[in-house]
Amino acid sequence: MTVYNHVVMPRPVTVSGRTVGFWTLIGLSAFGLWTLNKDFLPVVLAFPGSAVLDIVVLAFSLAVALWVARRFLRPVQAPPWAGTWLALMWGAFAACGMALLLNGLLLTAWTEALGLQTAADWAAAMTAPVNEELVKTAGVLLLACVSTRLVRSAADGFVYGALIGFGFQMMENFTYGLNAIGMSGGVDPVGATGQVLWIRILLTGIGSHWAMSAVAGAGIGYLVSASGRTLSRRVWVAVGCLALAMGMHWLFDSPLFGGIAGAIGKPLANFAILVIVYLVVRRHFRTRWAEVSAEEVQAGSLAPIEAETLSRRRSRRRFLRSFGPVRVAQERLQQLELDLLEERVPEGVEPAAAQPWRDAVAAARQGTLVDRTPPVL
Amino acid sequence: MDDIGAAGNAVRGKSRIWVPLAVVAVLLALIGAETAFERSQPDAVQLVPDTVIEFGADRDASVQVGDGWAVDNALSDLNSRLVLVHGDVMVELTSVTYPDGTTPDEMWTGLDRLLDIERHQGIQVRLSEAAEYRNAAGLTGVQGDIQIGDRAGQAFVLPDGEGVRAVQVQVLAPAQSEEDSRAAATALVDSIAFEEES
Repeated sequence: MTVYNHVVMPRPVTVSGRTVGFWTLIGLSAFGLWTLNKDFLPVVLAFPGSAVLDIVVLAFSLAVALWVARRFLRPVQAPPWAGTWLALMWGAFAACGMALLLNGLLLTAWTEALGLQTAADWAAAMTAPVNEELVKTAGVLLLACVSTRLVRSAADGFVYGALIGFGFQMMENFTYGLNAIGMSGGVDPVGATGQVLWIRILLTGIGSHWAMSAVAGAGIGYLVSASGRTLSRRVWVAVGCLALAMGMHWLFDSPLFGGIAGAIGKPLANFAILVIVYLVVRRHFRTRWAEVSAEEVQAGSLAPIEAETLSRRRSRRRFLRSFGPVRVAQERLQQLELDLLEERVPEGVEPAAAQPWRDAVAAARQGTLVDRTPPVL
Repeated sequence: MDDIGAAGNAVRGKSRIWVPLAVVAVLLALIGAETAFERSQPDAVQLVPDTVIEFGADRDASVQVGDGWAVDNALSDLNSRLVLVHGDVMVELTSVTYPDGTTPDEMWTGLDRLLDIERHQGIQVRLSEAAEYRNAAGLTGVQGDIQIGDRAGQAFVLPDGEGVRAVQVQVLAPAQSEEDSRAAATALVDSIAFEEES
């Protein structure tokens, strides 16, 4: 009698509906959506043409945001779809709705405390960086509580921060597009909406919310990653990144460096800071990836050629193409290898903890890996 | 498999319960602190008679207040909107920028369309036909009767000489408002002017 030893494919649960974090994300997003709906539904009903233009632009922006975040902002591979949608939801609904509420309070308080003249110039810069960066960053922290596998490195925090910022930016553009109607006296509402969207997407979009919250998110990713660093160091890095994001936002909103040069220069300065943070995060992630790849090659889990091709999207595709008809099986093996190395990235985790993924890779090579628990015979 | 038990990141065990609760607590504390700060400040500030307030994005529109006026700081933003109060009369001045070639009739229609927002909120709104109006500062625009909910009064659209920048004005008061306040509002509208471009 032949006995086959099956290995069950480990399925990393990226989002758990049984966590307090998940329901906090859902609950506060529902609250934010209610706030936005209360303030803007009458405007949408009064100006349906502007709302349609807003939605069309929002859909296009969403496609671009998804492509940029998933293709470029995380080294090696894109974040899971579940985390991607949760991040966008938090940014668009929870963060934007709560910022609307908080900004209303603080802007009014500054106007009352400082007087009309000073508040007109400085209230936005003294309000939005605090409120908006805090509510956006809270989303990255909550995502880290939804699953142990969603935010495990500064690179994860960076990409989820960017996604939250994209969600926020899209919803804010939607509301600004509607607010523009009043500023043009209700005449040519579609034209007024289009003009504001054009400025906010093409002129200032490059260094706006997504750039700021990606920087703050990288700090949260560093804070919650099992990196082996001390808690105080991780806290200081996270606080530093949040302060940097608030500083970027302050620069963006401040009356300093005004005029057209400022309108172009300030977003570019923010983008430059984003690129620097991204390069630091990416370098650290890739260094760690190379370390664990080498360890897994030494342990016999990966072939050297596989380890070489795994770290970049293009080399993975090229490697798969060389397999011709058996590509599907190889693609499955490649994904398992990626999952194994992702499990190894957090530095504080014992290498033995990734044994189920190592076994799955070995079983996939031998053709004994099953998708679900085999029936008891 | 037990995802929560695996050591993927540092937020595990009981931290998965108290960290989200702490996030909610911080957000509630922020709302509470900002509400307390806002309530600690006075809503309206009394203005010295003959004060000239410049408003609008470029501060190119101005209004001069007489005796007894207060500015509602909670509802005002010099960049776009100024809300002035005299007794039970409230005057809202909004700085707007029209597309080139907008006629006075189109400005009035625009104001009526903006009032659709209130209509969709279930508030009873009425705006009469426009009539030509010229204020004491020399601005020529349009004016008519307006009613929003239980407050009624007059609305004005006063453009600059080029018809691009304008001030939309709503003077609203309860039915039995004081005559003094209504006269003060008329004087206020008469003082609205634009700084001429050099």
